Amino acid sequence: MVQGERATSDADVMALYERTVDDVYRYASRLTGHHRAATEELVQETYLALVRHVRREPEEPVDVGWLIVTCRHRFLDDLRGSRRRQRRERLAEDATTAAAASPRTDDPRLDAVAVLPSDQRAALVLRYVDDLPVPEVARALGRSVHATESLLARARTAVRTAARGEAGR
Amino acid sequence: MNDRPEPPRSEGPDERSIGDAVRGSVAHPTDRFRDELRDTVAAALRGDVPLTTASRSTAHSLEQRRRWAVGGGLAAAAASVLVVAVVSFSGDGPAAVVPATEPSIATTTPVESIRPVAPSTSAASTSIASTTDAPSTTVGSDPAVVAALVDHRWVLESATDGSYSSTSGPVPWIEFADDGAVRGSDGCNVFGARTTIRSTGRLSLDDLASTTAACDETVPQVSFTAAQRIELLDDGERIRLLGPADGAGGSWQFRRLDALAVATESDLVGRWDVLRTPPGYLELEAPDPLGTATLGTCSSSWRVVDGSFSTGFGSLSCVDGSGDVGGALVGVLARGAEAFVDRIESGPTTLLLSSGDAVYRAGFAGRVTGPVMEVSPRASLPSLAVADEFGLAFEERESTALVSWTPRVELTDDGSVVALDLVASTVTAYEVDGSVRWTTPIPAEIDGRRPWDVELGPDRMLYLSYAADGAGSFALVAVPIDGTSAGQAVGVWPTAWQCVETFCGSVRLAAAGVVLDEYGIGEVSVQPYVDSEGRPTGATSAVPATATVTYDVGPRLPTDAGVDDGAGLLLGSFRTTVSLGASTWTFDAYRVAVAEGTYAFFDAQPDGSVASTFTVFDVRGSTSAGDAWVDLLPDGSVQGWWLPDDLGAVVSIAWIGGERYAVVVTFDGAAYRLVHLVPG
Repeated sequence: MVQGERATSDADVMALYERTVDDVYRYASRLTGHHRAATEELVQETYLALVRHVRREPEEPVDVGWLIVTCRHRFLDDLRGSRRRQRRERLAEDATTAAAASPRTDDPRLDAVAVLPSDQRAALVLRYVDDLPVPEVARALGRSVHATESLLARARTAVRTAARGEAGR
Repeated sequence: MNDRPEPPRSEGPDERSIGDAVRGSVAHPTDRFRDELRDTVAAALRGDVPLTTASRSTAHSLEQRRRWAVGGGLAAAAASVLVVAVVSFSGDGPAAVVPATEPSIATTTPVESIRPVAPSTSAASTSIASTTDAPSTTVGSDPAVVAALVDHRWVLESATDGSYSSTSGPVPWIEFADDGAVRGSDGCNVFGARTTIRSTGRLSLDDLASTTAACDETVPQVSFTAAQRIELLDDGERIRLLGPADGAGGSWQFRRLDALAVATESDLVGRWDVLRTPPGYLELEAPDPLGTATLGTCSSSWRVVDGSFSTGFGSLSCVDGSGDVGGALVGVLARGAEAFVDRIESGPTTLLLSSGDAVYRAGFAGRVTGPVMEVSPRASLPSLAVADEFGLAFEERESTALVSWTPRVELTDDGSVVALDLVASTVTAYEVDGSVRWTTPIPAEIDGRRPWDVELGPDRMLYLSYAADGAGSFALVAVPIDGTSAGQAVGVWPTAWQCVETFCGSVRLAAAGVVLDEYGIGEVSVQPYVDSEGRPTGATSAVPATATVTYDVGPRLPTDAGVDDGAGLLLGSFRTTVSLGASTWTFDAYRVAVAEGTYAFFDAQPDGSVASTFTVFDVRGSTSAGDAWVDLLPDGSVQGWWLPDDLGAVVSIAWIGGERYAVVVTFDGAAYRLVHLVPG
């Protein structure tokens, strides 16, 4: 099966899995800040969604793009669901949790991205990995455009600050 | 139509560096995960994996899903194992064993709840244990002992083998039924068994059957199913299970959990499994075609107080404890303890619980009394189509050191579309056919602040807020649209930068003046309207908007929604509750594009009751499809529409002259269009 074609058989789905799992995992990992367990959970859900989809809409083409979008939606659904409750503790807790769960790299920018609050990280991924315009990022995150811009601004500031801090050591 | 060529992306060096950091991160699945997931996908294709059940809260659900695949779902597996075997207590000697009605977890069993724990009625004062091991007197022969054990949940307090910490993870528990069945949880897996208890306290658990989920490696599993003896302690308040060699192999002490005990944070922290809705509540169709989670996790990082909790769509979450929301559900959720429901301090509670193939609206009887007025399958919503579209001539963004500003576009009541062009430092009003009505320059910067938001006020005055990167304050400036003056500073609005996230910095118009929303958490400020000379033309006032309660009653919504007090004053934002007059309004959506899900509007009275205006509606569809647009109409009803799939990102949508228009940005972020929408 080639990209964008119908997954008409189970073999097509499995072939799609083999061809795309690395890409989907990489994308999910960016969203989760390289939290392995969360990444695996997200990837698993994405492929189960794929199976549901091909069962329900066998005529509809699927490809890695569909998987990436589905992966993103699953992550964002969860993110939206947890946003309010996390708001107050997020700044303190998220970074700590992410820092503990995410492996450090040689690049302070990568480490900084990994420990960002999840909504800030998601905003960066949508903006720079998916290359979505800010209004689209806002819609995906369920925020106003204004709020999304401030979110991006703070995420970028955090990454810059982290990079400067590392460089200054 | 807009034929304007796509402007180049303005991603400065700083943005490129950050973008590289985000894009450059690389991770690979482990071979083990890859293999397991391959097996899972293959099993799903064979139909062995329950696709309507999605676990989103465990790091190990892959293995769990594989294990439970034959059981037809998480709850079903748990439920089926719970009825695996029963034992009758009768006569002397070991109790007679009744064959299990469902001897294997391989059979799908309808989801059932773990029944609520009844209040203690006769705490036993008889110790089961004795110094001899005289045979043949079963626990069933002693009604007092039976009463001491059954109809209670016994939650683990301590374990001598070090396998349990009361500060982490779910609380293991065990229950004895009067028909002889025993069931419990070791903190991860649920088991069922039949038991024999002799008068000496000697205990055996036979025909043990358990779920076999992979469990959190950081939480040691408790092995009390190896118990061989039981002791009744503290006049029936506690029991102790002793392992081999009279406890030398470990002992586990449980306390009796009476019904409706007040839950504490430690009681709530952990993983929760939604089993059923209480009787009498409406069952809704699942709004999420991808399947939704049945599990939720209450993290210790979320404050949980007084047993309160709430749930968002598809997953259970915990009240942050900062409000006065109280939870009041009995027997809906099951975990180590069912004693999570205690009281309501104020206000109604609505829970929407998803079990994968159904969404349950659950609440506390007598509190949420409003009927479900409308349940609108998304597929049944009428569609909107694009009748006309016009390009809007302004640049997409300007990059500063940190921020990419997008144009601010407002559809105004006078039938124009006002756009703040940050490149040209102008504000332009367009007619609905895309032609320019007027253009006026604005200050490009005020004391280091950049334009942030704009509204067209009365008397042909523009009200703009200016914000600085990263911190500090907003400034409100009034600029006449005819260019007769450079503008009048109306006020400076100090605020924390973080509050921008909650929509502060926005400028809204009200009868009394310009609403600065939010001045601080739960507050707004109103600055007076001014004329071209800067003279106030409206009243100055400060309006405390008491954002008293925030409820989770649905998925998050993309909105700047507000509540109108009838005088044109907008207060609050979505998912907040504000007090206006005698009513407290909670709202989730107001003229916004919504994702699929279940949403609710309701009017809560100060006494906690819910007025008749209570609407729950359901929006369904593919997450990759276009949006539905939902209006809460003045009569309290809900109107939903499909937006065209290829419309682009909706920046703003409004009625203009009785017609519906939207400003959208194309998906490549290059062009803005004014779109006239008509029923399609």
